[in-house]
Amino acid sequence: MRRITILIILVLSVLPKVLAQESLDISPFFSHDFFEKNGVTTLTVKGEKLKDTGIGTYRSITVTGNDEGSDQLAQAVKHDGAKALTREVSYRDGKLYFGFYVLKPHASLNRYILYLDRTEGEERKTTLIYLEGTADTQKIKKFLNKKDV
Amino acid sequence: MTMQNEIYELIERYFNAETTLEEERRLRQLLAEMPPGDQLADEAKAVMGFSLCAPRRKKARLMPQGVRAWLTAAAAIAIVFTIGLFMPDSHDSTPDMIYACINGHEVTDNNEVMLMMQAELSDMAEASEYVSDCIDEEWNAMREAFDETQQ
Repeated sequence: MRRITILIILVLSVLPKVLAQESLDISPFFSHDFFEKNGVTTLTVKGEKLKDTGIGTYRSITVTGNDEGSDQLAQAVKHDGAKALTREVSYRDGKLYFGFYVLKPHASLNRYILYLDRTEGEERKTTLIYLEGTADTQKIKKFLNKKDV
Repeated sequence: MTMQNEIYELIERYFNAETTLEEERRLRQLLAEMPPGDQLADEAKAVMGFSLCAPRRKKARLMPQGVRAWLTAAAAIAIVFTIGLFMPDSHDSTPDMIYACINGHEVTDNNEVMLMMQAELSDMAEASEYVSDCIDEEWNAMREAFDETQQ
């Protein structure tokens, strides 16, 4: 009986972490398969550099000059955005131009998606930022406008 | 010899360190049967660590052991789950990680990665501001139109 108790406790200790990685539609874009595609730039920042921001994880992906990749990204963002608690979005020519989504928290961590689809030079450039941490929406907006992180 | 006299005599011998093991055992037995209130007997009880002689109370089993074990497990799970659910993951405890990858090539310079991050945030902030301006513009246009209809 004691062994079963210990086992159950261990499983439940791990469970919140597993749930925190609840599969979002944008998740596959942060895999190595996607990183290696042409025109793809990805960033991951965690820890000390984000100290005092209330953000634990900063992940981003930028797709440049790859319409197919950008469209896939936009589709995934729209799917995840549909389940968001709040959203601020803007469309241009029928396409999602900017989006700020507040996702449902998981394991007491707030989660946010920022999306921007613009044209630089002649190339389409799409950026997706995923933020996770204890920071509330106001703090995230402050972080966004902070020049020196 | 009355019981009380026997106790007093044994107590005196006990305090004088003259009791045999058999007498000590007898004294303990007599003290155990004696109700509290007698000063000398109570003192002896205290000195002899009387609780050792007091009849042990049997623990009342309120529920079967199996049920108790399950309840213990459930309580432990509830505690762990509650802690796991409500204790925020401190970002301070997140292990440091700074990583960038451009077209499959890893960027190892931390400063470069941080600059890239700032550039992304700056783009987002600009777009967010633009969207807010558009909303303000639309709102003003709506208000003006509304004002005209009211005149």
